Amino acid sequence: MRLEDQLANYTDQLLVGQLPDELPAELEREARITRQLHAIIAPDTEMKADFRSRLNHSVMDEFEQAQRQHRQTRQTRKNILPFKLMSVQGLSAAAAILIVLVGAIAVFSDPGDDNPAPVGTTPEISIEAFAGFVVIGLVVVVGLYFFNRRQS
Amino acid sequence: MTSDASDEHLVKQAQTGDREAFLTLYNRYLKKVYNRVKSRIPPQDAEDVTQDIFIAVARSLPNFEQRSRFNTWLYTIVNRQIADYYRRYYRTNENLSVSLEAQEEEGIEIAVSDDENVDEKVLLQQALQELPENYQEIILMRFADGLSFAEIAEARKQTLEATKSLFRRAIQALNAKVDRDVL
Repeated sequence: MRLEDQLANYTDQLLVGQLPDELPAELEREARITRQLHAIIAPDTEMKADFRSRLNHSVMDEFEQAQRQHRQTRQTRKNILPFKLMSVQGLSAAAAILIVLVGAIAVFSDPGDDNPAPVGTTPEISIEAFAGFVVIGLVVVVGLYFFNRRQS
Repeated sequence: MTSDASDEHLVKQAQTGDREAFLTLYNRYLKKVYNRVKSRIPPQDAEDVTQDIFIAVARSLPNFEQRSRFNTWLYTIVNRQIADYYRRYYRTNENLSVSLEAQEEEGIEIAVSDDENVDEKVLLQQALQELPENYQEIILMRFADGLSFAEIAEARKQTLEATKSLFRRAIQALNAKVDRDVL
């Protein structure tokens, strides 16, 4: 049998109150520490009744108080946060739309000096540039979405 | 509230203000926590520290987001409170030893406790406190929580052999620490 198994058996026997089997000499120091641990960590020690009763009261009081405080905090947040959230949402949505609009205007109104669009014709659109602005707008919107989820 | 409900379910219920759910959780862990505290702190202070732990749990429960298991979160609070206790203990003892030295210098006779058992116990508790987390945990799971090696293996997602080997290494480390502290 492995030494680990022997020490584990020894511990099991000690904990159930049996007289443990004799161990080989190389486990003697470990057995001593195990016995000391068993002596200081006696799992069957009962708590004193007055301590238990005092503890029950103070813990349950604290639980009630913490719940009351938490409800109050949530209520306060509910009253204040919607306004804040709406402001953040509104501003972010406006920023996203603005980015896309500015991008669209810039692309449509400035075809480039080298190759100006003839009068009365539709200017050439750089799809890549336009897509870039759309992507930036989308990133802002997605960021806003995750921000909202976190807040709620 | 049924006493066999999972911790996760009880936590959710308790977070909505359900007293019974919290009481079930509290009763489920009280003895384990008390045993853990008793094993690491002198008996005269074990009750106060146990009370501090459960007060902290009641206070923090509304903000517990269940990103970890409840017992992991709870034992983190236990460890933190015990560490706080020892910080206070060492600070007080430093002051105490300074004041004892002052008394000795002034020739005042000091009564010294010759209770070897108390010394041995405190030594072992302090050595246990200084072990790496996984060593402390396996010793406490076996001695304080009363879990069998098979249950510990399951909880730690290890084989039984690996669990027993870890237990032996933990005992060896504790033995080495106690020997070092005695010398």
